[in-house]
Amino acid sequence: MSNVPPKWIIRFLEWVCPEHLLDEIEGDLYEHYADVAERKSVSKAKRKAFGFVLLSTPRLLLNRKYHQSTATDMLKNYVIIAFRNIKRQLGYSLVNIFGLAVGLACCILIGLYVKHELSFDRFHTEVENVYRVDLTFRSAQGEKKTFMTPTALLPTLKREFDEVKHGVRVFDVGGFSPVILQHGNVKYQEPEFFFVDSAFFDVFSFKLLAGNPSKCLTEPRSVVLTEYSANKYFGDNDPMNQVIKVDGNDYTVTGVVENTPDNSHFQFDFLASFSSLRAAKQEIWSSANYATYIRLSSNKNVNSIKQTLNDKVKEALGEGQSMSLIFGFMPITDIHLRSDISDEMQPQNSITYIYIISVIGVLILLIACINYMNLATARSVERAREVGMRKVLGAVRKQVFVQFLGESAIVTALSIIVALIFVNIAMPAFNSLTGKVIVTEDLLNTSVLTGLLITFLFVSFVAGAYPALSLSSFSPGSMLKGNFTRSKTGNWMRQILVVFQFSISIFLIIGTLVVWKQLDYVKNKKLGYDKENVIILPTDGNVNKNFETIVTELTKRPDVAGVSIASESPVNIGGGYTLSVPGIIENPISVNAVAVDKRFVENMGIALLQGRHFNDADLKLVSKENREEREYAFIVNEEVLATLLIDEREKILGQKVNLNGRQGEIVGVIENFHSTSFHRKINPLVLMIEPSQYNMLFVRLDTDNLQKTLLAVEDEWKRIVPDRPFVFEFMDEEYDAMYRSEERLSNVFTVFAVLAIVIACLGLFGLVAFAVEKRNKEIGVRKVLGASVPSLFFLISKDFSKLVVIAFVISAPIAYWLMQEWLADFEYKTTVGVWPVAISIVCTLFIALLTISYQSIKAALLNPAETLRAE
Amino acid sequence: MKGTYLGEFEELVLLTVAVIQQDGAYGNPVMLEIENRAKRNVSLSAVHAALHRLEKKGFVESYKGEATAKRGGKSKRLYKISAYGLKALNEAKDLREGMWSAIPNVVLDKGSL
Repeated sequence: MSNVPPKWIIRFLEWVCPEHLLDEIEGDLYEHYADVAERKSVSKAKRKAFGFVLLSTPRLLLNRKYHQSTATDMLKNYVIIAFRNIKRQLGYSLVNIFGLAVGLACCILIGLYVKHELSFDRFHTEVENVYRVDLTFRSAQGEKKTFMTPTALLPTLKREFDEVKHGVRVFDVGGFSPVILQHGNVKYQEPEFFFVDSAFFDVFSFKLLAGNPSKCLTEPRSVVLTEYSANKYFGDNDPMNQVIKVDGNDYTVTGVVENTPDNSHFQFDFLASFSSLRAAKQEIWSSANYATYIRLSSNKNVNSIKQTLNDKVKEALGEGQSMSLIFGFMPITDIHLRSDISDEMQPQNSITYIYIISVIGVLILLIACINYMNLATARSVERAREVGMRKVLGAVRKQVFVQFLGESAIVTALSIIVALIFVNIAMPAFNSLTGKVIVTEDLLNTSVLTGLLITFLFVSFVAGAYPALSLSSFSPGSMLKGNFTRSKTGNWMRQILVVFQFSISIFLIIGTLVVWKQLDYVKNKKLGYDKENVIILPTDGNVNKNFETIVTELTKRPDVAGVSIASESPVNIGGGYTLSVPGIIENPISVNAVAVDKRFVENMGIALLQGRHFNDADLKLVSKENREEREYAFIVNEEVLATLLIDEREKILGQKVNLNGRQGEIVGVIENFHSTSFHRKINPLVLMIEPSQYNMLFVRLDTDNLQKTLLAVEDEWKRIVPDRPFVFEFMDEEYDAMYRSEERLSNVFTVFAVLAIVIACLGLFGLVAFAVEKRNKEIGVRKVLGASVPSLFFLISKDFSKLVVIAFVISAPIAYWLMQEWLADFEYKTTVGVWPVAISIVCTLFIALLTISYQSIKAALLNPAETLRAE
Repeated sequence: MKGTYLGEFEELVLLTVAVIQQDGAYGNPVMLEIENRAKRNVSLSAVHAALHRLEKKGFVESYKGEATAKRGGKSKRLYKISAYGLKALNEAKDLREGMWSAIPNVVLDKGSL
């Protein structure tokens, strides 16, 4: 045979052509080719054959897809059956998909949140070598750890250790009092203003958009702006080399840096050169106000550096100090979540919170998975015949298992799609709940998508494995005979799962109620001072000079109850001092101290227990030019007396004391007030008069028309100190801000407790429906024999209420104990008490009964003739 | 069944199968027959497509035929018209005849002019 089509055409045809058509098509081609070659020419035949293959291929390929092997046929069948089941049992499928979607949506949101929290500060290059030096003061009274270090630390580190490649000191001037910036007519109060050393951009990897990173912070009076602040002051003009006024002094703009990424623990708007400060020229150990960050060449020797440093410091300071300084190195990536320093420069989060929220997310997802498991196994009766038939026709257990696992994968896939829609809808609410800025685009990166894929596989498997196992285990004989009954173990398993779901719900409810209770306690407890109706205004030297004028002018108004000034707000007093009390105690005690004016105690509503208030004579004595001659008057709180073990208050009056070099005597005793958060015990506190420290002005208002009063006060303020913007904060808001993380925890708990119970009830609803369906005949017979509707309702509700009660018995003690642990973190706390526990069970039972009641009442009201007619 | 509509080319192929099924109707002879009678170029793949479609619609039935050396040793697939196919052809014919008889004579006369 010479006239055969080219080999490659035949081979191609064999490749594309489905098996069952091959003989016909190939044979016909051979014949056609031979014909044409004989009658016309070989080349024409070749062309024809080529055209034939070209034209036939698409059709053949489609045909092939249609009938290939039994494997794909079965797969197709599984998918069809899965979708038919979803459609046939639309109600239950919706319960499943909706429940899973809500659970998944929670999980996705929480995942995004946690991912963002864990990404803090990781954008710096070689971040593992960057440390912040912290300082622990150790004295007889205990320890206090702070991130603030002395000026001498960094120069010492650089001199003594070759490993310290770069270092930078950061001075948070805004933390003491916000600075005022002015360019032309644009003038704002700026809290995020920092003085930093010139090596700032060697230690950190913030991107400089304009200017020279190694030189821009070298010269005194230079300032680097972020894009945001450059735009705020200069609009579209180029800010470089322009002059901007910082608290009245001219600073030159030497650089523009990108906005601080929102996952940086250190958020700044302005960076000014450290050399502008007087402190830059000194090297002292005695005052610690500067955060010190260092970049090491490698992080291998951190511990030995720490050891040597502490030895050297001890040497430099000499022996015989009552208080020792211990330096430590904290990796910069630990600052946001793992810092044990109570007062961070800027508010940070805690890893415990991350753990709590992750666990809650997983629990919610578990509840949703359990719904699927329960509904799928409860419906097994309906699928039993199908499984039986499949097995009779030769399916092995593995195939049935794979089929049901596949069904759960389909449901999970649908749920994930719905969940992503939910996530998009819930995004704004979630952002306001957590204070994050997560956007839809964050979903579209590989790690999130991988996470989704893993979740998909995990959920499909967890939710699908048990139903698949149980369904595939049926023996075909009994199933097809029709006397298939639910297995006892299956029922048990379902009940255990329901108990588990409700345990989690009850736990979350108790948690929510306890957090609420504690927050309520914190907000309503008598603090010892009156935080309502007070506005706080930051001050500067000019305001302090005009303080008496401000007082006279403002107190003329009937709606201003009082004006006073202090170095810190009573909401959170942090200034640490040592107080030596000769004749009573050998070593000085560590105390908090705050500089106030003579009206402060009265204006804040703090009770004076003994002695007198400050007066003008005290002010005169401390204002003497010669430091040596100054004499201080001190008012102390009861805690000071307690620390000194003095029982009678009168005894302390007139006692000579020394507060960090300030000589003077105690003139009064005040009642303890909560001068810091409820997490900590009330410290010994000393009040003194010292005008140079004044930082904050307090105006107590007494008005029905807040807006009018505020406007009037503002006018007055602008008249007296025109260079200072009238930017104020309410004291009670400042107080609430201290408990923001508890507030968030309470919000998160509330939302997730509600979701947990909704999802659990969705599952319960489905289960009850099936239980009722199964017992339709029984209910019919009972009704015929005279059972009443309430008794039938009770009959059905009993089974499920029992489960809720068991869940309560399991979870209440655990919740009680865990919440007790949480409360232990507060020095001043409420108790868990009976109420949260009682409310949780009543609530859950009520909601569960409500869920059950729809189905059970429907069943109880059904005409028995309907159910008994069949058969 | 998908659709039971009989397309123009399908009708042609179906008729051809009916004509030559005694001698064995498969791709190549069907193609040649159409080429001879209708004087138009028909590709083999189009004939295959039409035959498969007709089979799916139930108008023809197929069975395995003999193999020849010219076919490279592959067996033929032979087609014959089914009762249903015959009925469809008849219906198509009736439809046409009915419409022919409905054409007014005037039109026919004009057409002949």
